[in-house]
Amino acid sequence: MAQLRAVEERILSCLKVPVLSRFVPCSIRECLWTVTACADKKAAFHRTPLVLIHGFAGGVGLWALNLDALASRRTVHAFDLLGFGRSSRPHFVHDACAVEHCFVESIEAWREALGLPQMVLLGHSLGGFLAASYAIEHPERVKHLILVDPWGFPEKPQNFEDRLPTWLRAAGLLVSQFNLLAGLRMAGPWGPGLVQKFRPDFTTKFSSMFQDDTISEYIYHCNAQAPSGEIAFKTMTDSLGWAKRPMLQRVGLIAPRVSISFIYGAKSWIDCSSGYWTKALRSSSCVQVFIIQGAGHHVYADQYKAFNHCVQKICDSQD
Amino acid sequence: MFALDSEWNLSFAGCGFLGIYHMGVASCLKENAPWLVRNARKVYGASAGALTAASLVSGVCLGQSCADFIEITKEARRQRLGPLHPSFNLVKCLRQAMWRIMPNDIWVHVSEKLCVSLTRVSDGENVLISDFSSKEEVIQALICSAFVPVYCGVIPPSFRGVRYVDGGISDNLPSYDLKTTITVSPFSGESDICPRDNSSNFHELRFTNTSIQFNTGNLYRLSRALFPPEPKVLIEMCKEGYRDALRFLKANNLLFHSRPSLGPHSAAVDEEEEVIEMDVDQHEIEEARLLVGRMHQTSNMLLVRRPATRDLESVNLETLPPQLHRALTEASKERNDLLSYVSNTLPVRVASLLMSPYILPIESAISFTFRLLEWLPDVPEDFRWMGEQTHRVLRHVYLRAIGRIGHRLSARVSCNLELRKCLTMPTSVAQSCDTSAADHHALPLGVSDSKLTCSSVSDPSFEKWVEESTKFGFEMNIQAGLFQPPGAAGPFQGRKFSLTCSARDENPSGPLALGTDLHHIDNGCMPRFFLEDD
Repeated sequence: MAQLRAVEERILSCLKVPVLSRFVPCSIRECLWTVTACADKKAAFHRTPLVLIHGFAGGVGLWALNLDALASRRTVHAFDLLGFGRSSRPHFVHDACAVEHCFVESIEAWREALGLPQMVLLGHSLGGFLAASYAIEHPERVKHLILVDPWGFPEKPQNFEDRLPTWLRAAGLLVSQFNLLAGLRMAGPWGPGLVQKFRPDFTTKFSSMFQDDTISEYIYHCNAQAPSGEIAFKTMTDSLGWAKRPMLQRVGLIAPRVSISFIYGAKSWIDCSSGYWTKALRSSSCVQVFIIQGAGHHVYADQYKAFNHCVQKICDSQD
Repeated sequence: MFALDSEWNLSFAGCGFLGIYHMGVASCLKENAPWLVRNARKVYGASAGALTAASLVSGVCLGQSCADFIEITKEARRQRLGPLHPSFNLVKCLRQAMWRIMPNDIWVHVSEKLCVSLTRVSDGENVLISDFSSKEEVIQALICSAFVPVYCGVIPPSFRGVRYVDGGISDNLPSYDLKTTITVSPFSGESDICPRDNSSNFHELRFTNTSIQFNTGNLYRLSRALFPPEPKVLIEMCKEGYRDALRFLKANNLLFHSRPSLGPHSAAVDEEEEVIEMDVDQHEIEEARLLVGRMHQTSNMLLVRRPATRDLESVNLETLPPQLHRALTEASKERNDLLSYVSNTLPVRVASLLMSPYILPIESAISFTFRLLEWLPDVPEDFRWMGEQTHRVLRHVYLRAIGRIGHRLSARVSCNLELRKCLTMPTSVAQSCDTSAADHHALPLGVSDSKLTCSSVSDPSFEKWVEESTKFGFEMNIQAGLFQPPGAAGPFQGRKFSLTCSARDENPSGPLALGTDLHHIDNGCMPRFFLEDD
């Protein structure tokens, strides 16, 4: 934990905007690590704050390339999801519905503790899924929903597994018994090297900010602790990555007055068709789909300038 | 995304037998956007990707390459052990196929354009080769790039006298700059042209630059990379490649004219069309640039509307160029004669399975003999190389061993020297050493041998120690005679030795003051002493 704090401080110290970071309680025992950035308090006063929710295995540090630009005219809050990063790591129950509810309630309690009447909610990957889930339950708190390469929208195709050979299905079953990042924790002192070895792309993505492998170190320390959010994610997934409760079925439940923007990376394997499906399903409300060229799943880092520009434009269209 | 108004590259990932996917992509690019290939600055490739890149750049008939490719996979599947059977020689098959289908002046076409990724054996570094001076060189570079160690053989091939192996080991998806490189990979992931597995799994691995999504589809592909599947599956992969490339072209508005699928036509007609396309080419590019420019002007992001993606793909499901399609189906056809029928019946298959333990050694012996015969011309060079390698390894081991022995000896000296609170040795100790034989044994053997001094002095880190010791001010002389062999007026009698001392600790808490009890410097920072014949 101490190492994670040190790496995170190193990352946040590279930012130009003044940053306030602290633990915000979200229940009696748990609290969420929160980073608030705001460059111009006067201008930000009248604008709805932007709340960033990171994806699986991430943390607030991954927004390093975005905070400066996004916080130029608006308060930006970023927090570590329950069970990830520096936030509390509770034991989640083994029920997809309950886990999802737990996450949503933690976000709601966090919002209440901060005293935000309304927010522009931006979620990436797993965060996108949870942001959408939050918007279903608390639509009055969401001014606008931005989903960046959201996970868990499409349904699992019926015959998905029939097409695979038997041994592959067996292998898939075997792999799904384990926590995916367990290998990382087992590697012990080789862990940071392992991240660097298998995800050297993170270092290149953030190379405009850090010349060394600060980011892979950060990712390692985020995930080197006792798995909690990871187990929760596993509870919500079905056979390697499909959501047990796909969001596309429920996207109609979000109150029509909540407008939604989808941002997809053109290279990402997250299928952007779910954005268009949402658009078709929510014909009575405003849904926009943006595709950022040259970006993969980590849109916010791959093409951070285009991403920041896009998010700013969306936010400015709100107030 | 691709700054088409400046320049762009293409890059094909290494993927073993999945290279057929690249063939599909290549044929799509060649048919639908030939200018994209012709005007690319560089076409990179590793392993099987390099083979496709070479065929694409040189303008070799892709149908022919595909047919040969399938022939090779059939050859690999012929034996029960698959490609691991000793009679299957991938390198030889590839070389023969390339000599056959590549034009003699291929190096003129591919020089400065084709960029082959290789891994240098000596240091494991990635090397990109893009200048060739003969057909032989092109083929040799491609062979080097496709040479998976152990799988293809033990002795790596050489290119211009340097030994290389599979480029995929160091850089599987070479690119000069990712933003302007169109990447092609048969593994679903974050490449520009790659299969979309329609899975919402976002775990991803990077294997030397290639993004591989963590899902069962890719697991299957990985398992097939070195052990080829049936021709039917290969053709499916080829079609998948074609479809993915087409989708990429459409999504990026790179597709400017959709040529209707023509009936079967001969290679001659194809060539004619090529010529005509050359003329329109300039015009096309202007058009492309204008469009791209307009795209950039309107917005950085594209608000793409893709209403019915399904039927977009289904329409083009069977649009493999007819020539390619014919070549593929013909190549994949199984022989339908009596012999193959008989060999496929159950009793014969069971019999052959039972016989295999007996037949395999004989077959192996025969194929090894053949290989040996083929190897003969290269024997001197390979042996020289192996000799060099062994020499290097031995030298390395030798140096390390020497270093370690040197360390140990000097450590022993330091352990056995009884140095009390002061840095000058008490004479009483020396005298006791001198007189009693038992005490003498406490000293390491050979301490009185001046060779020890020499070996310690020759220790590579000796100079460092001297440096450190002078830093701390430990340089002193002790009276000789201390290490005198008992009962003999040895050669050290009356001579001076300098005793050099330093702490091994990198960051000692401070300079050691004279008079410190050196025994307290413990835990890996045992003081080291050097005996030096003064």
